[in-house]
Amino acid sequence: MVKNKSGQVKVQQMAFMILGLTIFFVLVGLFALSFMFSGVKESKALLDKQQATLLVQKLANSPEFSCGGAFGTEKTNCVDLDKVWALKSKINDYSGFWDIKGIEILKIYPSSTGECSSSNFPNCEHLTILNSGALGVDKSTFVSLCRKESDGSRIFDKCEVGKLIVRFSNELK
Amino acid sequence: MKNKRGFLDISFSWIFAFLIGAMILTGAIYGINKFSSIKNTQNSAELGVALKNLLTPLESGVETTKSITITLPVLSKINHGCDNYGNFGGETFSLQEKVKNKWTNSGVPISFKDKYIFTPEVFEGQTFNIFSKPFNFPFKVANLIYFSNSKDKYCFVGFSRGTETELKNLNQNNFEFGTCSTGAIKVCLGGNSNCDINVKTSDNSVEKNGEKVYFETDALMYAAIFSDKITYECELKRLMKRADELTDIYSSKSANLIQVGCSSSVDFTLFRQGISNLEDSEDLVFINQAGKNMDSINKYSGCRLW
Repeated sequence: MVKNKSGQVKVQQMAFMILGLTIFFVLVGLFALSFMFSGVKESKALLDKQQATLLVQKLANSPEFSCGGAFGTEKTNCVDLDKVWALKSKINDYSGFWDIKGIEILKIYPSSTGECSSSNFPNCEHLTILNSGALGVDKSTFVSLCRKESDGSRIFDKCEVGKLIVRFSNELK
Repeated sequence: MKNKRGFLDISFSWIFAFLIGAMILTGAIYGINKFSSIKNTQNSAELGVALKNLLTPLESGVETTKSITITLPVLSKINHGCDNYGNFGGETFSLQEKVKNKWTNSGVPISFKDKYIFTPEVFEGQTFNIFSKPFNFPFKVANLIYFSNSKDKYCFVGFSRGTETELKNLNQNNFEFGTCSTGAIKVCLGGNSNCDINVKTSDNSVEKNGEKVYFETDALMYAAIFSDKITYECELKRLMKRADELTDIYSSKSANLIQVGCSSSVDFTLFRQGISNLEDSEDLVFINQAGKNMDSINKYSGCRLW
């Protein structure tokens, strides 16, 4: 009986030891995993930030925005305001195309006021092309805003200074 | 009594220890495998997004062509998918890496709608030479992106001086001109039985692996050379969808400009009809003709739309 009791104690000791070891290894494993994957979030944020910066430049020069040859030779960061005004009414077709939450154009010089609408375009300051209502991070680039203008006797090209603002998903934060 | 204990004199505590030890070892091996698989998926997703970001500068700017070289950390397999659903269609990229002589599981697919990439459906390599060229049809529709494995030599025979200069200026080390090295993929203009890829200007076609596709403009000719028929036809339909959306925008712009006293008189009807009737690249010729007519009117109009 005494022998049996000592054996039972030994098994119990071993069971506790093994249990302790298992818990120890699991904890070490979890710690290692959290350490290994701690960089994933930062890495995603960095890649998204890169993407956002590149996409603003790309958008300014995309066929939907760029001046092309409509105002003489092709120029970089030149936005055709007449084309963009036409795009505004078709923007639902473009949902999900650029994977962004908002596109706005801000006229900087010469200064003007108000949100652009059919009654005051192009004599306005702020043109919202896409607004999903979602929060996010804005990235912008300076652009030339060119359009056709008439003074009653002749038609000419008019270019002003503006900013193209693109809103990206909140995940960038 | 001693004899009765049997041949193997193992106490219960040893059996118990073996069992638990085996369980811990199995768990550890399973954990390591699972971890390495997650790590591979993470690597593949990171690489995919990085690749997407590297391709973005190829699409901006007004340059005629742009080129870059991308070297991946290990030999990789790129699976390229294309679909033409919705207003613009879309494409997906997923990367598999060769680790310890075995391909990792297909990685997280990275999808995008605003890129037009011409590659075979599946291709392998570690270093890729990539270049882009604007596709004007007749207005700019997109920048097309072409991939080639730096180990695959492409030898261009019989092409015009202009095309040769354009390709030479890309400084891609896997392009040869005139004299071909052994094992090079021979791309011939005019048709030749000794060539791997035949470009015929008589009907604007490219024949490759016994399959024929049709092109208009140099941008689509390169597209047909560097991709396969399935990818080419799918990407072409996506391009035409975008051209259709852009036509709508130009049409509205044209109508709006009348208020300024600016009439462009470009008629988009035939062009749009051609796009809606497009079944495959063979129909491209009709759209191109309509596009050319539109372009000549636009060029000489008082108010250029593009």
